[in-house]
Amino acid sequence: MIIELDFQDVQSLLRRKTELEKLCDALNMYGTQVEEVDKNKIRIEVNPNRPDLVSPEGVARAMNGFLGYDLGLPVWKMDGSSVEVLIEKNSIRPYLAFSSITGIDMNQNIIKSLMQMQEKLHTSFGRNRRKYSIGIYDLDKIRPPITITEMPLDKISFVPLGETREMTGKEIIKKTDKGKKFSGLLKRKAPVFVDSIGTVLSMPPIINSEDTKVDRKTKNFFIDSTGMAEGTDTLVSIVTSALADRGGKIGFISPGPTFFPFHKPFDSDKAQKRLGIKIEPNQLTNLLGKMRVGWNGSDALVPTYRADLNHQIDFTEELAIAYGYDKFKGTLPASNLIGKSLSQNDLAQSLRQIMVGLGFIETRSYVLTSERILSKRGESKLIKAVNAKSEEHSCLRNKLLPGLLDFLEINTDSKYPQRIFEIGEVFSPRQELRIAGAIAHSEASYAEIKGVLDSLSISMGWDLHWALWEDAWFLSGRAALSKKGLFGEIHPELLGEIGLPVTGFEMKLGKD
Amino acid sequence: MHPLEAKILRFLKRKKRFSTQELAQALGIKPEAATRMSYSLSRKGLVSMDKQVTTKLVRTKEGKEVMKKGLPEKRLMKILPEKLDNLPAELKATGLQWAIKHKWVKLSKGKVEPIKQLNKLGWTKEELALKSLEGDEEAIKLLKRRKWVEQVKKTEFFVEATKRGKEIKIKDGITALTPKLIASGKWKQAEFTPFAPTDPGIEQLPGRIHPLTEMIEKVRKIFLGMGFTESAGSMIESSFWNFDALFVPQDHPAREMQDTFYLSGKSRLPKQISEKVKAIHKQNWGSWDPNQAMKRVLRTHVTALSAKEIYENEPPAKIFSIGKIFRNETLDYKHLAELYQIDGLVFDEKVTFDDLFGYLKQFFLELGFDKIRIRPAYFPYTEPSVEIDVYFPEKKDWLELGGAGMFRPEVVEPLTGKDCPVLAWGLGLERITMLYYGINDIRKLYKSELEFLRTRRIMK
Repeated sequence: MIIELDFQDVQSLLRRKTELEKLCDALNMYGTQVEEVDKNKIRIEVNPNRPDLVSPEGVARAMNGFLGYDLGLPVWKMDGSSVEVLIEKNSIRPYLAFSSITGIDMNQNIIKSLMQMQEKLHTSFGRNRRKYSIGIYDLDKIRPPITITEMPLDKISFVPLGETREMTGKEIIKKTDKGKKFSGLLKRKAPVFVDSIGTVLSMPPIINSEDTKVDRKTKNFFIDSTGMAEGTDTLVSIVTSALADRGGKIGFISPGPTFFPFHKPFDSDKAQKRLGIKIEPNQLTNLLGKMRVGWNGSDALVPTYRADLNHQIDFTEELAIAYGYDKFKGTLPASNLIGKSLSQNDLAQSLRQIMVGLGFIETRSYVLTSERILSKRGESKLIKAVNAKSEEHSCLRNKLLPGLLDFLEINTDSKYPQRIFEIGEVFSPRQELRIAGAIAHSEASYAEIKGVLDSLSISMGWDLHWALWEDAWFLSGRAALSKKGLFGEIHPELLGEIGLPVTGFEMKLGKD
Repeated sequence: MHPLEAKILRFLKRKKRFSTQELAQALGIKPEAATRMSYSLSRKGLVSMDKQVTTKLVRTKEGKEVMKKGLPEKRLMKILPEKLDNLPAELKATGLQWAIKHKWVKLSKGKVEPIKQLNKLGWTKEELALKSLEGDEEAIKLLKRRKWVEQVKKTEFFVEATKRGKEIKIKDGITALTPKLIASGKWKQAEFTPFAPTDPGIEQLPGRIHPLTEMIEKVRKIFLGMGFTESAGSMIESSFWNFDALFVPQDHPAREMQDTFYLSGKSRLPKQISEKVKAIHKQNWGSWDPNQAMKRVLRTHVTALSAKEIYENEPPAKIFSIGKIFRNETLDYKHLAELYQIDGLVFDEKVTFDDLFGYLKQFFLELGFDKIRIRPAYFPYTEPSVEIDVYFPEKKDWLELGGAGMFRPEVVEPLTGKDCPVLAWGLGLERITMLYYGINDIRKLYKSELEFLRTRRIMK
């Protein structure tokens, strides 16, 4: 997914002044490809395994490590939270996590970041809120403790975000944009968060309340994530760490992440063997530190916002990125394996040489084409994609000749004679390799196409017995069939724009 | 003097000024020959030649298409009312904006509705002008803007005998050595007209190999030379091999209908191995539905075949395959619905990540791309993963040509029963071909212009 960063904002979060070019290089070599730089805006591609990078804070945190400005586990101000969460009923979205964060000096960049983060996390990691969703609230507008409960939709009532009047859960789902978009995620009942004086915070995963919304004056935040699987801790960690990077103090809430690093076993010798590199033991801490991962000699220590680091191979990759992909030499191992080509492809290549020698141009048309082209003559048994975006590419070809005719039709302004051929797979209905050729000019004749086939048959050692054949693609009495395929004069009704006689053949290349 | 030169000069001696076209007609020779011979005479100072350029309006390929099928906006009117999303791309691209401009249709709630009736529209200005190739300036301007007509320059040459040309005694030369002249020995006395080496020869319409085939052959040669064995598989694949065996979770966006072509019918699951794949999915993603795995797809990568290869082979093995893959995309100059992918894998206890860099660098070096950059990337089935960029001095930019990595243990272990290193890559053949030959529109490679295939250069 694409994330937009403001260079000045990222700069302010970096520990040292960094040139734009240096930052872009580092982003590329970290695995967040820079798609576009437009004045002050950097657009990067964030991979789906790194939801922690969907904010300028997350990116700057990673870059502070990768550029060597701040190695190892990130350090934040932390304490237990004053907020208590009481769980009354919790069956609809059973996985829950919370945190609070206080003392933020709000500005426009933070608001923008929170919005981008929430949107991107919802669509990607949250699978459009189905798997996970997040809520961010102004803590000062809430009177804890907060109760988590469930209610029938028509019993819920509050002013949803962006509205001016109180609505029932049912109304919210029917009338608001967000409600309509995500109504499929709820049935008759919905989860509701309510504070001690009855203020509704939200109805996850649909919408928060207007009463508790974050604005330009918000200093202290309450954060939640609800979901259908483990992972809500990660989402709360991601959002909370981003705000902590802006100077806030984290407050743990149960259930929720503790922000103490996970210990995961990591065998660094095995990793070096797999990567094919040698790292000095004293360098190991530094390299993992560049990835904001700690190291105690046997375990890697992983910050809670990184849910993607669990197994040996995950740390091996971190080590490789920290080592630098540009530092790998590119070794070519000795091997006594001998390459062997596919005889079918060799045969096709020999055939191409023969066809070119006979004056034919090789063309390529689409395997996936339109029913319109293939079924001009009432073809049936075509293999069709059930969900093609366009009719033009929806059907697997069962013949090569229609593609050649199509080619001739779009090239009527080129010089004649036109002699073309194609070797390719068709589905009839099984996948098989074929060759087809076509000749178009004012005197294209039986004798010419038959001469080509005779020459081809000699080279291929085909002993073919031709008999007259009736086929809707050819003029009656002007086509012949053998065990390998057929040839003939194309039916005038199929010539369309070509306006010249066309003869053609199509032969199977596999076994009979 | 060439006999044709003599013929022309004799004609011009008696008459006055002619266009080469008229000359050709009067003398019954080809117009090109008349022009060529007149040139040659003018170089000898025997005729004078002058050029006149006139312009003429002609229909372009698109213009001819419109003549045949009708105005896009009128064709659009035929299928209305219709949802905006359901409109055929071609009509949406051009027809719609003009129909709106003319106030024939309106857009409301994502639906295009007619305001006017098709049979009451009559002939539009453009239609009339396109048919007659005449009309007021505005109509012609419009046709040009819509790229349906273009001005074509026509060059005519007029020739006239000079004073010297009128006076000179004309003598026929011999143009061709014949078996008869050789046998009789008469060639010894004959006067041969000299060649005109700057004149074009007789045009040839060559038979040629397609650029993609040329590139496929280069790639095959390189991998065979590096000791890889060639393989091929079916374009129709089960979701199991295309996704599940590669550890792509069943709710992964790539598996959605908008990205992947699905076919009706179901594939059978390979029994033993699907149990192992099921276990690894359940352990990591919580759930696994065999019905999802049985769905048939047009393979989205040749990597589906690579998974089968490591299941069927014992290490060490080096295998490559060049095959078609499919993406449910709308076509433009950068995207096709089907592409060739060059897939390779090295399945070997001793192979390392550094070796992957070695193979990739060697491959591109042999193709003549010596400046490449390998960056970290992400794919569900490899870890570590990389993307390969090649530097293009013309564009002063890096262009991505493919992805690679080491198969994850979650892929390798269920298929082979052990965690053996596997290097794997998938590179885009069309992109490499375009860069190699300097082709800028990917659509040029399929349903190409014949002229392009006949005259393209074999290297950039």
